[in-house]
Amino acid sequence: MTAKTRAALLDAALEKGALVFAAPLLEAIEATSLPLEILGLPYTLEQKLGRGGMATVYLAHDAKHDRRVAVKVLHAELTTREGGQRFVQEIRLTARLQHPHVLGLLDSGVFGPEVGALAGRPYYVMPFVNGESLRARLAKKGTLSISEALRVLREVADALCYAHEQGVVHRDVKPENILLSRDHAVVADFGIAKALVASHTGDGAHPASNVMTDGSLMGTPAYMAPEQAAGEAQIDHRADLYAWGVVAYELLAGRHPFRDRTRSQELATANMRQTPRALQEVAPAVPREVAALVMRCLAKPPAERPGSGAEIIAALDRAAVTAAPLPVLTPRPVSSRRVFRRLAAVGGSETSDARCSGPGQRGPKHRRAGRSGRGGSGWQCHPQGPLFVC
Amino acid sequence: MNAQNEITDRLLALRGSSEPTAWEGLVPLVYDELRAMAHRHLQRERPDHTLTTTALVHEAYLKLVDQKRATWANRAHFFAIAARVMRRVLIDYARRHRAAKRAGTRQRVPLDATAEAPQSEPGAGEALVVPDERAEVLVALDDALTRLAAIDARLVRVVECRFFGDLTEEETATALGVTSRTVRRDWIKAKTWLHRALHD
Repeated sequence: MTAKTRAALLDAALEKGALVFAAPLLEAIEATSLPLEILGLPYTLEQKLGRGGMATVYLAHDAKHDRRVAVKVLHAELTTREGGQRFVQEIRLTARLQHPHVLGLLDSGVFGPEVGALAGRPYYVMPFVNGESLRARLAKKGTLSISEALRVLREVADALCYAHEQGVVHRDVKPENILLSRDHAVVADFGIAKALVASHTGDGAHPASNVMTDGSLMGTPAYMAPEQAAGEAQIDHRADLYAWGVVAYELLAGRHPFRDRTRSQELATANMRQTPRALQEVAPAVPREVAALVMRCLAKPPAERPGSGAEIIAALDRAAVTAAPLPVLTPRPVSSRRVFRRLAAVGGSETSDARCSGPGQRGPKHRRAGRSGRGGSGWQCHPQGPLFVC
Repeated sequence: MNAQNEITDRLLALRGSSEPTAWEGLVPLVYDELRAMAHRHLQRERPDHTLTTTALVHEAYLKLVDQKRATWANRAHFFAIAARVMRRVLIDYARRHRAAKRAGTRQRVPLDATAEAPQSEPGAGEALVVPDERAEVLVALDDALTRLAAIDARLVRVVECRFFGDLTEEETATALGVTSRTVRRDWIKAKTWLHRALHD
C-alpha cells in the first residue's frame, strides 16, 4: 500500500469511527481459521457450522489423519480463564467412552494467551457426523414414525446405559445433542455440562450439581429433570433418564410434554411440578408398555423412575416382543394397497394399537408383509392415525 | 472487591483528577469486558448492525459501573477509559491479523458477514480485500499516536475519545476537563498531524 493510500484510508477512517472502520477486519479474523492455526493445532478450519448455547462449532480438517472433525469452542462467557484447565480435566472421563451410539471425543485443550479473543477458551474435538440432529430432523419432517422413533430411543437409551456404567452422566440430553447418522442415533456432548460447571467452580472437586457459581443452571430447561431444575446438590444418572423420557414423549406424541410453556423459567417449573398428560391419551397408537415406560421416566422423584438405562432397554424390547405378532395378514402375497384397505378397516381399535411394531422388530408376518409389498418395506404406525403399511 | 465496585470506586476517586496514571488500573478490567463484548457481537448472525463503539461501551458501562453511585462526569471518565481500551483491543486485532498473514498459513474463507454487509455502508463491496489494509492503517496509526504522545499528549487523548471511543465533542470535553472548543481545535490539529505522519 502506498503512503498516499494509507493517508487517504486514515482520513476516511477518522470520519467513520474506529469500530466501523475495523469491522471487516474483526469479522475476517473471527471467521477464518486464524486462531486455530496460530496455535499450531493440527486442524484447519473449513467453515462455521453453527453456534449453540454453549459453543461455536467449526467443521475442520484434521491434516494428520486426513479426516473431517468438528471443533467446538466454548463461549467466552461460560468459562473463566482459570476454568479452562478444569474443563479439560473433567472432560477426560468422556474421552474414555467408546460406544457405537456415543459420539467420541478426539481431543481437547485450552487456547493459549497468544490467541487474543480465544485466550483461555476451552475447545474439544469430535468426529464429524455427516447427518443431522434429531432436532433438525423433527423440524424438517415434523414427526418420526413410531418404529423410527422407537429405534432412535432405544439407541439413545443404549448410549446412556453404557455411559452411566462408565460413571459419566450426560446432564443435557435433548434432540439437539442426538445426531442421526444414516438414521442411527449418536449422542453427542457427554459430560460437557459437568465439565462446564467444573470450569466455573474451579475448586478441584467434582461438581455434583449443575449450579454455576453465579447461581444459574447449566442445562436446557425444556429437558431438565426436576432435581436439576431445583438446583439440587446431587444429580445422578436418573436425570438423564428423565430427559430421555421428555425426548421420548416428544417423539412419540409429536409434541413436547409441556408445549404450552415457552419461557425457560416456565419450562423448568413445569418439569419440577406439572404432570404431563398421559402419553397413551395423547398418542393412542404408541404401544401401551412403551407409553407407561415413558411416563415412568417422567416421574418427579428420581426413585420412581426406572433405575437404569438397561431397564429402559429391557422394557422397550419387551414391548417389541409383545407387539411382534403383527396384524393378521393373509398368508398369500397381497399388494400393499390391499393390506392398507384391510388394516384401515380395523381402524385405530385397541387390537391394532397393540400390534404396532416394536423398535425394528420384524416378526415372521413382518417379512411376509415385506415381500408382499414394495421391496424392503416395513410396518409403521402413524402416531395418531390408523395402522398403515409404507 | 468485584470488578464493578472496583471500577466505580476508581472512577469516583478519579473525579477532578486528570492524572493519566490514576486510571491505568482500570484498563485490564475494561479490556476484558470490551473484548468479550466485541467478540459476542461479532459472533451474532448479523454483526454489522450492532457493532458500534457506542453500543459496546454503553453495554460495558451498564455492566461494570454501579449506576446508583455514578454521575455524568463519572460516565464521561469511564467512556474516555473505554476509548483508550478500544484502541488497544483494535490494535491487538490488527497486529494479530498481520502476524497471521506473515505466517502465510491462513486460509481465506468466504465471509457471509462481509458479503451481506449493508450496501449503504461505504466500502461494503471491497470487504474481502480491505481487512489487510485496515489492519495496516490501524497499526500505522497506533505507531503515529505513540510518537504524537511525546509531542502533545492531549491530542492523543482527543483522538482516542473521538475516534476509538466515538465520543462527541462535549463528552470528550467533559472527560478531559477542557472546553468543547479546545476539543474541536485539537481534533483538527491531530488529524492534520496524523495525515502527514502516515503520508510520509
